[in-house]
Amino acid sequence: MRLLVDRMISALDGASKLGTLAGSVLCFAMMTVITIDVILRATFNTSIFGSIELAVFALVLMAFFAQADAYTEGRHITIDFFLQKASPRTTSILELGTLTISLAIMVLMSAAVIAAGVETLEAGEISFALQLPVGLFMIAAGVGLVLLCLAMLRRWITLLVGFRRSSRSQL
Amino acid sequence: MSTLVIGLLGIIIMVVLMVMRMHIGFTMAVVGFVGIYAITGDWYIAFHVLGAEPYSSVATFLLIAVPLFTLMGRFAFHSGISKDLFDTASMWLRHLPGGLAVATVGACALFSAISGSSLAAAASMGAIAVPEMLRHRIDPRMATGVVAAGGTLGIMIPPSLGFIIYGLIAEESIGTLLIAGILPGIILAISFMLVVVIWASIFPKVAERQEAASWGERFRSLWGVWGILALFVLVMGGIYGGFMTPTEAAAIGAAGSLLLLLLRKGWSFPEISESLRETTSITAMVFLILIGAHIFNVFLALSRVPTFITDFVIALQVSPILILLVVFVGYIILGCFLDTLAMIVLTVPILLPAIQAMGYDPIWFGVMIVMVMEMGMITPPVGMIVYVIKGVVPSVELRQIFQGVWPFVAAQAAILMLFLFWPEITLWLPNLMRD
Repeated sequence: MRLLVDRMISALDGASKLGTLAGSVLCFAMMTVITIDVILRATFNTSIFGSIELAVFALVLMAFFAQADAYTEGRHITIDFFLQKASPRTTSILELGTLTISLAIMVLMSAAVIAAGVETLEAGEISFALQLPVGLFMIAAGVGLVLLCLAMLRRWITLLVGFRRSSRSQL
Repeated sequence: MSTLVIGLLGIIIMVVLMVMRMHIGFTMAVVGFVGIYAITGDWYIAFHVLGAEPYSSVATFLLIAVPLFTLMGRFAFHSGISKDLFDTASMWLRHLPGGLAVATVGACALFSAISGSSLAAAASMGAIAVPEMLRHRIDPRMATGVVAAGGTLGIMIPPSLGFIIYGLIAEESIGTLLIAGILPGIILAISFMLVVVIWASIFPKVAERQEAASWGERFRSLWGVWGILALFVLVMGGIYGGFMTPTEAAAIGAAGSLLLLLLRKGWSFPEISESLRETTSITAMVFLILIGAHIFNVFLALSRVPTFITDFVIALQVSPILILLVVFVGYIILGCFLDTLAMIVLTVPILLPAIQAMGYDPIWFGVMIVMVMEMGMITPPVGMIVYVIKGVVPSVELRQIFQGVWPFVAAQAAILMLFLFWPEITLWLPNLMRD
């Protein structure tokens, strides 16, 4: 059981890192495509067909797939000032509480985004220039959020286990 | 319960959750989602907003400027340009009273021209300039205070993430906002230099005077920073002249910054990949806040809280200047606890309609609040930038850094008053651009 959990955790870590790696590649691609587009426009009065759409889709994938790793790295902003002097136990209880709420909303959001994506896909909505199915990118965004939920779930379990251990040791 | 009461309750609950250290993006999404249900009484509508907003708030061409301007700053940071900026500024300014500290402000201003983050500017210049100033026996209070103050230029002088996010939330032209930040940023930098000169003139012991560099040395030093200056002129000139959109300018800026990195360090894969990884991570952080803000804004609009606040402010029959002063003091206090981006997404949708109803220009207000928020970032008890500098220079006590920033906070307050009573200064460049 423990081995299975460890494997799942390492797979999740790998997926998070892969998300950021993909985001980095997409970021570089966005920069390259737009730069070439501007240069072509300035010199030959022409542009890459669908470059704007490509860049926007790349941004969507980058923004959502990097969420899990950003969460694991503690990038997301919190106000720490008021709880600076709180005891570790109080901090853990509050984190567990707020994380439960956050996890609930993110699970709902992932489901809602994927549902909206499936709906858009079924409606046959396509992008203007490249005629790519918009719903696919919405579903991809939802998958990025699912990865974030898994990273949050991992933190939630870690907190819960730590909290139970400290409660037992106090007893 | 009326929609207004639900709206106000939502804002209170959001503040409570944030104080409990819930992530800001998640907090806004939760309150927005529950609030929409409370007002409409329909889970389907709330679920629909939760499904539609995340994608639609990200899939915008304009928003590509966020990662690309961040990337431009990260490439510049990893290219090690900070040292050259400091050396050049030092060659030109070190003969003045408090010369090295004056040079630090100059270097911070130059670094800010390629980086949109105050924390990055403070961290990178702090690591270079503070040890150098301490070696030349400049008072630690002045050495650290000047870097903290100089760091705030990061978000004032474009490209600035603060202006981009404000533009998106306020639905104002990002290009105009970026141009609007140039003159206030320069004035602020000059005022910081004046503070150092006056401080060092009154108390000569705080900073030893340095020997002036020859004109030959000065001009030779420009070789190390020409790329940064050219990049800034290209990016801002492109936006100002209307040749490029802010997103295109950001792409050109990032590509130019990468070129500078390659010219300085050769093919340096670790630095390039680290810059891209940091950019991706920062983008994810910014976008989660934006997604939360979009969901929360739907709730705000349904609750009619902004309309209520606008009506209330107009009914007060008080001088608009007084109301603005109260707003600014509020922002300074908030700035002590909150990140600039978070403050913008939280407060602008609520306050901007009232500010516009009082007849103020939203571009001017954007510049003003970014400036006020930055004051909060170097003011006790929190002052995030101060903690960054403490991290970079652990030998200097936190108390000394806070003592050192006060003269600069006073200068910022004076400049703020100048812009408050003469908004034309802030709007001069944007008006020229509009014409």
